[in-house]
Amino acid sequence: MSRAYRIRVSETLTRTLRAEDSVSTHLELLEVLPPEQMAELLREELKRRGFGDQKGELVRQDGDLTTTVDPVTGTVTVRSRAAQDLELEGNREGLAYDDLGPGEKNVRKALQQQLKQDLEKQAEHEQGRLQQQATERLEGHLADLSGELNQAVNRVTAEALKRKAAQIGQIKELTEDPQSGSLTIKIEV
Amino acid sequence: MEANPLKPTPSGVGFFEGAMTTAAPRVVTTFEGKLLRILRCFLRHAPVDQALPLVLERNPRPPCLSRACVELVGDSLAKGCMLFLVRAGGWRRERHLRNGQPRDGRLWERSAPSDLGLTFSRHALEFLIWMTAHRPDDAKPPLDLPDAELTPADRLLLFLAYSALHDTEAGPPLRSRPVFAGHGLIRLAFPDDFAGAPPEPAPDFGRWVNGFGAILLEAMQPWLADRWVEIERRKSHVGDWTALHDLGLAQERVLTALTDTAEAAERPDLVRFLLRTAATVLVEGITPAAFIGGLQGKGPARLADRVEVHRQALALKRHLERLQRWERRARSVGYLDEGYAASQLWKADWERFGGEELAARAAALLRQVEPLTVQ
Repeated sequence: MSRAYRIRVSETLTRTLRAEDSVSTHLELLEVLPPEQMAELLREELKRRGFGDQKGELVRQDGDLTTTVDPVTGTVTVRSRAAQDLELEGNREGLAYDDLGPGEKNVRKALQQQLKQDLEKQAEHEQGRLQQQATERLEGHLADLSGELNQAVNRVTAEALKRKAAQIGQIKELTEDPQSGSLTIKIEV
Repeated sequence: MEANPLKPTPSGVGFFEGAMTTAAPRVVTTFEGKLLRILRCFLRHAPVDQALPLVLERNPRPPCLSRACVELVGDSLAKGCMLFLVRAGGWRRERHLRNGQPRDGRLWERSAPSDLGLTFSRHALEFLIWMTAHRPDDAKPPLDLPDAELTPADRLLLFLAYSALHDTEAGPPLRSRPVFAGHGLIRLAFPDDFAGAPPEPAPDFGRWVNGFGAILLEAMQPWLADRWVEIERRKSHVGDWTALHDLGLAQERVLTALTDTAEAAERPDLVRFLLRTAATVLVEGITPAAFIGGLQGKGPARLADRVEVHRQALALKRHLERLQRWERRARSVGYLDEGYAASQLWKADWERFGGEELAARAAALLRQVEPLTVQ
């Protein structure tokens, strides 16, 4: 006569979750000066705004957000990264009707498999949450960054116009309105 | 003159040769009768419902076809293919290039009659026999149509066959075959059918920008424009993010292959249908919702993936940027420079369809789907 035995299994799942998201765009700079000079002006302007030069590219870290600008191509990439160490534990119990032999082994194996699947599902859920956080952080940053880059482009264009004007003739008058962004240059040729 | 009635014979059925004739109807076997019915469907002389049961059944293959059948096939192909080309757009007075110079008129006015002859190889008949004897999804015997031996007319027949069957259960097994998957005109006309397909085989347009293949592509410009307008307008009803992404990607692949080949062959006139499509689709005030408004749910978790879907949905609009670069380049081609006539023709097309306005609307659409915009 067989007896019922309680079988308990436990599993641990340890892993590092990573999430990443990014968007790219392109800065359109008017070619007031030759491309290499425009790139240099952009480099100087972005350095003033906290960007550091890394192998020719300008990079700025804002917490978990990294903004990279290639001054030559004008490509801007914003990347959001997140990482989380995850440790999950789980237990599962079941009944077997033989204390030794195939019955107990099968039940133990099935319980372990189910437990692993449950832990994987939980890990997936956590991965989804981490991804959502990374994406929301990125989305929240874009409006401010867009405004900042617009300002940078305007300043670079204004500086380029001043230098161009100086090449054409003698600047008699220069009026700049930071509010509206308008720039008036009178030159004597 | 009294028409002879259709008279069944012990061995098969009779077919008329001409509407009113005193000659006896041509007698063909049952197999040949089915082959001719399938061909009529391909040539749009009969609805696909009539031919589909025949396409989906197997019939024992005869050792050969009768002379009557071969002559009827030849006659049907000659008349049916030319009728299709005329209706597709060959009747229109258009301007296309011939040896680098513009030529005006209808299809048969732009080319000498000797250049418009449809030459079919034995593979055309082999294809029809195979389609009658086997189901489209039969792996054996293989449908052996060596690409290098196919004539432009053979390829037109394959196109007509696929066009007739693409929306039926015969469509998927046909497009899984390399001879259809690599067929440039089929990929161009039905990019939606190949959404999600692997990148290889890439569509081959080399045979469609020279010789008779180019003449076929010229004739089909209005037909292609109508097809692409239909595809663009259906996008607002696509709810699945992956499906919309795959559709845009399929469009982008085929457009890139076509424009690369047309550019190398100095035949910008062969992509005129894209301007016609854009002029119909990119109306004033158009918004991205016209293309991505049907997407259901939040979509992929990553912003990068959602943006990619939006970008792919606007594949045609992104391609206009390239066509605009053609126009810019065309402006700098001098009177004595090579390719002057082709450049002038492209400039004229660009202006005729309001290319600058279209490009501006396309650029505005693309800006609206970008989450990070810098002016």
